Amino acid sequence: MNKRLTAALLSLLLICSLLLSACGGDLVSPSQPDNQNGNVIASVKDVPKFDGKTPFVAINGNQPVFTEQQLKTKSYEKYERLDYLGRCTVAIAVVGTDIMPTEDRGSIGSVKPTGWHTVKYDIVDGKYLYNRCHLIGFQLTGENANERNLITGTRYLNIEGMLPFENMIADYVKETDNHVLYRVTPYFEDKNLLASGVQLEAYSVEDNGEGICFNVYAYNAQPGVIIDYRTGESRLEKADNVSSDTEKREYVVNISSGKFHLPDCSGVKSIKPQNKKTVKTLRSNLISNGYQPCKQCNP
Amino acid sequence: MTVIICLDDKNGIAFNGRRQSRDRVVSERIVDLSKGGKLFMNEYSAKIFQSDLKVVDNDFLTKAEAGDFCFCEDDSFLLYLGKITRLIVYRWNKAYPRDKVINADVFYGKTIKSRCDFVGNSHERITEEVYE
Repeated sequence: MNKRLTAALLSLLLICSLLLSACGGDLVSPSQPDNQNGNVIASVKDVPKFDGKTPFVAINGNQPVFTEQQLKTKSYEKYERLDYLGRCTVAIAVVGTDIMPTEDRGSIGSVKPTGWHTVKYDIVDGKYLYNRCHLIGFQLTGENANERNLITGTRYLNIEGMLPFENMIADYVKETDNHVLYRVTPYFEDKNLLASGVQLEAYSVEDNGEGICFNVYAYNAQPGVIIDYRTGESRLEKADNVSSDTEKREYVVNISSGKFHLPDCSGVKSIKPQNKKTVKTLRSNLISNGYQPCKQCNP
Repeated sequence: MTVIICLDDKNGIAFNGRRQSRDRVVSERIVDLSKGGKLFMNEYSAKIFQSDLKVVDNDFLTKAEAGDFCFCEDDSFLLYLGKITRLIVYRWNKAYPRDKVINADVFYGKTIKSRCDFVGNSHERITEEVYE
């Protein structure tokens, strides 16, 4: 064995031992800032309050905390027992193509997770505030009406907070035939029936996290809606705070830049005719369709 | 030069230093369309291309010349906008987590020349857009 190869192997061994020695055998290397202030959020208890526009924040520099023993290349899924209040606890899986669904999703309406309410608001995409949120998404393990895998989650949590991560894992597994260790943990404060949020941790096994590596906390919140997490009851924010979200107004949309403006905004003049569209709609509809408010006229 | 990027449905391009998605059909398509020129990419991207025709260089955007193709999986190409004569965007038509987003301003001054949809390996619908 030549000297360069030996040195490289020794360096690799050193790095591995450092990673595995932190936190009692956990793979941890906090490094990157987790929020816009540039701070690393060490754990879920340090997560800032929901700011109304950020669906998730990174935890621990986006490094998941798994033990070496958990990093298996054989698929499995495990849904832990409900707690004494009937709340979900944790779901973990090594996701591989062999346990991904091959059939369409079945009905999950028979499960009524804690904090469940059927309630509709116009400002919510699809109207319904709450969805039955899979902890481990159906597209990953094909789990249907399993009460240990379903929590009451807002539409915003489901679509903006969790689905993007599930999509990322699903594509990676399908394209590589590798495995991803994935754990989802809902957090309930005290005896609350509605989770405050969920922690999502994932790590691609065969390539040591090169493909998939994240650790985030997604808020179980809905912009414009105030939620009582003890019971799951909810109400709209005060009308004066959400007037722009409940009244249809005229906006000018730039379909090329993805920005929207008030009709009298000076920026409207510079939009090319083929990219300009005038619409009368809710501000929240534009936001939920991916458009961003112009920073100049702040519609 | 031609720059090729992949975006999610909110113009996201990467999350936590990693690509949001991949699809072997897109990789094959990129190899096909770059025949006749050099296909540049960095070491990270090279792993998802089987072709021997690729040129792997971590400083490829500096070295690429007119007629060459550059596959970028981050926003580093924004420093070379003056060199870009054509931009090809593959849209996954799905949402992924993102902490790097390509501002739509990058398309200013360019006109869309073609748009077509095709089926990927792990994606139901991928859209190819060509801007010049």
